Amino acid sequence: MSTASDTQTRTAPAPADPRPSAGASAPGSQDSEVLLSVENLRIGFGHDEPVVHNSSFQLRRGQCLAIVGESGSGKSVTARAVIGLAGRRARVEAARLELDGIDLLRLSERRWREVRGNRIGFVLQDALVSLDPLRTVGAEVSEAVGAHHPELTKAQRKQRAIELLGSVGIPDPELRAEQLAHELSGGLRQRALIATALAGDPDVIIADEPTTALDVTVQAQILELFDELKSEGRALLVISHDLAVVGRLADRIAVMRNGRIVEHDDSDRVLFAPEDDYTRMLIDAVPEGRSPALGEVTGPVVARVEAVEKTFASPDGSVRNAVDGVSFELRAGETLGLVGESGSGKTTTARILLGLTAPDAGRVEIDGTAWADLSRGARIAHRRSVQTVYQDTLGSFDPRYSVEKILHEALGVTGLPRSARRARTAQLLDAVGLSRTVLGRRPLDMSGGQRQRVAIARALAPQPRIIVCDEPVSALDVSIQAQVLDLLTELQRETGVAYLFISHDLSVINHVSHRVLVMKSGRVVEHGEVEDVFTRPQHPYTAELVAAIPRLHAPAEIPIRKDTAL
Amino acid sequence: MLRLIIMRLLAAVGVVLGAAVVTFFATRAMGDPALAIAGGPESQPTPEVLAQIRADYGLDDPLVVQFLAYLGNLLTGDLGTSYRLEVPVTAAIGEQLPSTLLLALGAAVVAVIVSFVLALATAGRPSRKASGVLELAFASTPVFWLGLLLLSLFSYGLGWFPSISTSDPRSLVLPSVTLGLPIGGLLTQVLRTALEEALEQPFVLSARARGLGEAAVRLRHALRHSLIPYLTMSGYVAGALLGGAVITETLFNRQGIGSLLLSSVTTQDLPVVMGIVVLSAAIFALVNLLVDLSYPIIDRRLKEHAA
Amino acid sequence: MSTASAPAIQGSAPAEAPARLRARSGVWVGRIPAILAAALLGFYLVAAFVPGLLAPHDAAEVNPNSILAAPSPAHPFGTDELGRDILSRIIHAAGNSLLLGFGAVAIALVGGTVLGLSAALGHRFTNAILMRFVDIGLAFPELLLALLVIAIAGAGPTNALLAIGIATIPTYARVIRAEALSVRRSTYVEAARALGQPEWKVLVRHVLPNALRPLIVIATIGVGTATLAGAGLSFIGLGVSPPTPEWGSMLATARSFLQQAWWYGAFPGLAITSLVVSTTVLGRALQARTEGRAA
Repeated sequence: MSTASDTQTRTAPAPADPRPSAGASAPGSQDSEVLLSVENLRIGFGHDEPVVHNSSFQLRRGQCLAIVGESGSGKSVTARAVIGLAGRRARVEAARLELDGIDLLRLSERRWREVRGNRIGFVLQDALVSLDPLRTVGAEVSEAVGAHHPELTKAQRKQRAIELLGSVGIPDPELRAEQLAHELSGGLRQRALIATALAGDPDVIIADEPTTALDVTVQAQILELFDELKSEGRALLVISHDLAVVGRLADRIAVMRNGRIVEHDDSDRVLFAPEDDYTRMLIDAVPEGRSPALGEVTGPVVARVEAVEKTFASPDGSVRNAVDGVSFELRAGETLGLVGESGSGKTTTARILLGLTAPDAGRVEIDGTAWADLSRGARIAHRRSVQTVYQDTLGSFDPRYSVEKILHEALGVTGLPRSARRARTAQLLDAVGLSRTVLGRRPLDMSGGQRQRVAIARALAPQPRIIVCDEPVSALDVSIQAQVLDLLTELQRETGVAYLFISHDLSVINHVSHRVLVMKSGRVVEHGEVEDVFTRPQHPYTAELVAAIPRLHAPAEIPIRKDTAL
Repeated sequence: MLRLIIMRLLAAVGVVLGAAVVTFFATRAMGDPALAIAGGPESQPTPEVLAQIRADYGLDDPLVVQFLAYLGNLLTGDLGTSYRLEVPVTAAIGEQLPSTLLLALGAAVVAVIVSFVLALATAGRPSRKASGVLELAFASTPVFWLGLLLLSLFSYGLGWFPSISTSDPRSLVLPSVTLGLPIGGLLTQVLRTALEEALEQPFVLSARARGLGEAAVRLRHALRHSLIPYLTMSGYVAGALLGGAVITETLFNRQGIGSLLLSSVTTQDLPVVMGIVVLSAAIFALVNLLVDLSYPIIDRRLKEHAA
Repeated sequence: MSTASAPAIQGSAPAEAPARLRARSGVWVGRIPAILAAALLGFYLVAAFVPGLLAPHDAAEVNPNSILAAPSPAHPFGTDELGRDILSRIIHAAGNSLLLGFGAVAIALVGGTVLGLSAALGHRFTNAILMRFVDIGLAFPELLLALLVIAIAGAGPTNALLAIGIATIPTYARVIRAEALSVRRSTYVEAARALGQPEWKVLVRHVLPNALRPLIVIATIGVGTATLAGAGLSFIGLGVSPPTPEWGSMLATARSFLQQAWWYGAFPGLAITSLVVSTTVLGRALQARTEGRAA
């Protein structure tokens, strides 16, 4: 009922979209039937400025349109408006909002419910929270079946749910139907979520960041599934922040920025001959190939990790090998990329290097001194030589501290006298490209990119030999991501600091690392120069990872092994 | 699951025993039971009288002996003898228990109905503001004032309900509302907040996008997610129910554990006070045990953690 | 507003910005309840320290000619069974009632902080022992624990204050322990350690100030609930007794005159409820502020 109050009104046709979707070269699908037609869509909340201005697009049967933009661009709310779920405070206005002859602007809540699921299916990111975590996936799919086929008995619904789960490529659907979302792997859960969206056999599927929370190999498989849905004749509207991902799927791409569509055309044209500056910037920001700024590594060894092991006892008494015989060296001025999927032991390895977790076996030397050989006090003093930049930067700052206090604290551990701290703080801010006006601000009042710069300044303050970067750019928009990566590379050249760079994103690793370490289930499965590993992967797991990297400028057909890593 | 139940049960027994031990030592360390038996300092008993009382009640035995005797009796279900009523504490309590349980049940029904109706109807809707004001007013109203207001209005003013308790079931209405409404206000706050949090979750958006109606979204999805904080709070306020019974029973001249406790506190009838305290700790532990055991039923994920 | 759900993996900053904007544009409207609450609390504090300043009549002045008189311009809240002005008595009662509330909260704060911090920051063994005691304390309903203390120590204002304070220690201890534990596990504490700060500096600079930050919130709300509990004890005759004016004991007397004088029962209770409402509103406003900074 909350959505019944969406105020949706028809407006007079406003000046047309700056870049009308007139391009007439979409492969194959251009002549197929228009299913969804949106003209001059405007969305606002309360009395604030509209968040979406005069957006127009069409969706044809068998076609995929991707709306791409960074956070705050208005892409998600556009998708929600199409299914009537923009929220109770939303004002949705358009010259035309039609689905296969149905005027969506005039639907009662009751009629909307017939459209939702039946005519339009909706898939969100991260099935872990988009499927009700307290109910079995079978119950979720059955519920979706029941919403559109109330005539079916409970047993029939369940039967249909199992068929649906099977049809989206879930093995043993009878078994899986009885499980909760968190008991399935990321890929299976996302398939189950797609099954709920298919329950009403809709012609239009809207997918909001459908692969964002997934590991890279699984991402490729889910894209494959969407491709199948498209070839069944459904129309897809995909919302994403990731040009490289949608490039594999979309026939047409609309780039959104600040609520406006700035470029809208066939995907090849948008990706390979972008006309708009913003689109060009987005494409350039996708880390591809090696960073030209990467320096030569000639420095001495600053960290030596030898056969470290760490096991954790689970509450049920079983023992889990988080890290199993990991060894590597790190030289001054070098970046070692650490890749692996969630739970592969990356973070535990980092904590062992930092001296915050003691390994069960093995040895870690920083600058020739092993953590284990130091007394408690000496270990604390030695910590300043390894610093860290966290993914959750906001959580890594004391909420009461201003930027100035954060940096002064970090400088204080080196024994720098108070009088010298002010000048050094200014130097640090310059180094990370922040103006001095941020000194009095708290991290909460800063943007994600600024916060990450403060975190880097703090890590540099004690003049460490090594900085552990734990997913330092995963929480950032792609344009900001590129700036932060450039900053890190530049600082390395100036200071000779070594990075252990943890990321799930292989393009980022490829961009900034000299060498790479691939971890799986606590073990190192591959270790070598980045170019070798990326061009001639030895281990099948690495090969799979590399094959699954979404690329803009690569042949579209990359073989995907469907049966693995589920 | 069975192991969990046993562990929790043992913990609950431990807490109740601990409560008994703390109570015992507190009464011995901070006051003079003999003086209390004699009628308090105002009665100015002679040293001979006090000595006689100590001998009669075994209060001149070493503390350890007294403690072991108390503990032994406790384990066999003997809570001692009332100084004032001169009957076994268990008998005194047993006589009053049904009336208080009835009151507590009535109050719980009021609280649950109020909280479910208000929270489900207003969560995430414009009416939530009105509900917020109502909840705060309910939760901030002292039981004794609410009772007075209800008596003024419905008993003396409109004459709908009796002002004192009789066997007439209507006489249970005002006490139940008095005791239940403030608790209902608190529970509404918890349930509404939890519902609103759940309604913001992506799975609710998914459910709506599947074509589910508002009632189905609230009852099938959001409510279940809100039950855990709701039950946790319910377990916590079960204690407030017992405490509030003291005031409610006084106010409506009802028989019950509460009025027994009050008269025993006033006359320093320590065995009865200790008995009631231990009993309420036991009830509190039992309620919270049931709450704990209900978690894995609501959320299967918790079963794995517990195992 | 940003898009309703920026993907989780993207920056959180753009999603926060609108919340801050909203807060700024609605600054005054949003703060009205808190300002009213603070004003009311201020009124009660003035009443507590200098009741003569606010009270229209002498609270003890008996007037046989206007016994149980209904509210009138001369006596806005009416008079009681001895012809005393109820408004003046409510104002004069503020000191006694609030003393119970503030005193009990002070005891609970000190006791709860010491227990909670020792449990959270001490040795695992200390933690286990202290938390068992806290568990036992929590197993008693607060009013019952207070009654137990009174049964042992006897009735009266001082003992009532002590009783409520002691009875609420376990609750405070639990909150502070939980807070200290979560701060201790936070990323910023790990970041301070990784910087090479000695353990005691991490404790003094980061753990303690952040763990104790919610104290102001729980103490503010606690004053209201403790005053209510104190009035409850007075109501059943175990706290402040007549003729000393106190909100709970006034209500206890009013109970006998309910049929003749509804105002006698209505207004002292309104004083308690309005106090509890304002401390709660104020506490929540403080909480929103501290959490806004910490979120």
